[in-house]
Amino acid sequence: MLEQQLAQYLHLRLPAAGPVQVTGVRRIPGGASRETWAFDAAWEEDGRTLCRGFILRRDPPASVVVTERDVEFQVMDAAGRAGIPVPKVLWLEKDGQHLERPFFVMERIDGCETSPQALLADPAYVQVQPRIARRFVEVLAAIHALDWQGLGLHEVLGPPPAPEECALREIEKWEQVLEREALGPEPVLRAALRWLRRHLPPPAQRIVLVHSDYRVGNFLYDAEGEIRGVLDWELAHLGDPLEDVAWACLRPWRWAGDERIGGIMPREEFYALYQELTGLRVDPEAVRFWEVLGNVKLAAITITGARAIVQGRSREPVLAMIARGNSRLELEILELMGV
Amino acid sequence: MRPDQRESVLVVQGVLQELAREVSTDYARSQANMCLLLLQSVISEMDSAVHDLVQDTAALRELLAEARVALASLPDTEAADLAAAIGAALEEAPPDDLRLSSLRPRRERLLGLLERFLCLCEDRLGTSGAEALGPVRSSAYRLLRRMALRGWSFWDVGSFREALVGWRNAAQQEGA
Repeated sequence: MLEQQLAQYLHLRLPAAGPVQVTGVRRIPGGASRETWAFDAAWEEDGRTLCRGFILRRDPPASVVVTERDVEFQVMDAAGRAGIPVPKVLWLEKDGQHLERPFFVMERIDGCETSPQALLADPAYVQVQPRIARRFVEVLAAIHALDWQGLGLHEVLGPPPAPEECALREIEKWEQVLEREALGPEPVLRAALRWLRRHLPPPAQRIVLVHSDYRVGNFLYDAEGEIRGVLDWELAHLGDPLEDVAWACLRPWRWAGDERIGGIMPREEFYALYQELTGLRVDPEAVRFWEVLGNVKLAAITITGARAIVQGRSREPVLAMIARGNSRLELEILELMGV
Repeated sequence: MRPDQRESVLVVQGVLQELAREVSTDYARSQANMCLLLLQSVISEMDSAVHDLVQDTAALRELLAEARVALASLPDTEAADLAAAIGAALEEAPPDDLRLSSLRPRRERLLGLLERFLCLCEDRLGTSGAEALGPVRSSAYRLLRRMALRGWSFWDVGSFREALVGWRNAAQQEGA
């Protein structure tokens, strides 16, 4: 069914092509916010047979977070044009005319891995771990160096906050999500939000494009140690670069189970390289603020998924599973708050 | 004798484990594994569910009684309103119905009051006249930590592994 719909859709989008044959449609595991499907397509064009791999990102019936797919599409497009490694985005459909729900299509980057576990344990990748660690920081620095005004991203993302407004704006954003989605009392999260208001960091040193989900596990890497595509741009916004620095440091992404950032590098190394590449100072207290907020944000996202389960709008086990792990995020929040 | 809840869930887990090996797509395998982890988390709380809810309710009542006394030292209406709400909740008769569906709402009600109390504490911390809130705030966070340490989560075998061992050891020493 989906194969046929995709073939018809591609035929529409590739006017020079003859009939399109779609094969190998398969759902990719993970991704709690949108359905991700991989497929292959073949068609005749100018007497030649062309074959390409694609990725479909389709809105699910219920998600962990309400995000605008056109924002994700446009930000990825702009980042790609500016040289950031991202899968090339191709077509965006804002309604369900073609595949029942809104979606966008992007190119598939083959021969890559996203799994943090493979990065930590697969000998093919373990040997290039130091290079990936370095590239991880370099790509983040490159995102933060993007000329978002020149790329017109303020027109997509809305006007930038003033440097002193970044933190408060994010507190308010996630407070509203919690207000809307909470299924019961959340004493740790709500107290943490009050704590955050008392511990606001210094104004942002620079307003940058914040990826907002930049972490080990959210990029495609290869066996050469290259990062080939940064994924999941749906929460991107303009703000404080330290928000991304702290998010990358969150305990949930310390996959080795110890204190190493992303499971691949010591925190001091991460800070030092980031500072060297960006010229920005990493203030540990400011990072602590953003880590508390990051854990609150992650908890709020999982609560949104929990609500979808409780209301019967979703039966995705990943939503139930991650929401049941919220107590661990609470422990981390209390630890970071020092209470 | 018949298989109890735990044993029955273990049967389902076993079957899912077998099925996960049989399925051919990454997506189906991943979904089966998610279900296994979800069941593991449910099993970890099943046996002690009633005990935990009863204990939580008692601990919350004790803590809120202290909070009410601390709130009395504040002169404003927000504190007075909260103290009155706590007073009303503490007057409720202790639960005689031990069904989860009865115990949970009672706990939630008390937890809601604790949430209000903690928000007030965080807003007032360091202000004059709010000194009495400090010790109860600390006790409240200790209780929330104890509650959050329970059960099993998929994080426990991954990124939280070492931290959780440390937190559990600290909680044990504190309780000893």
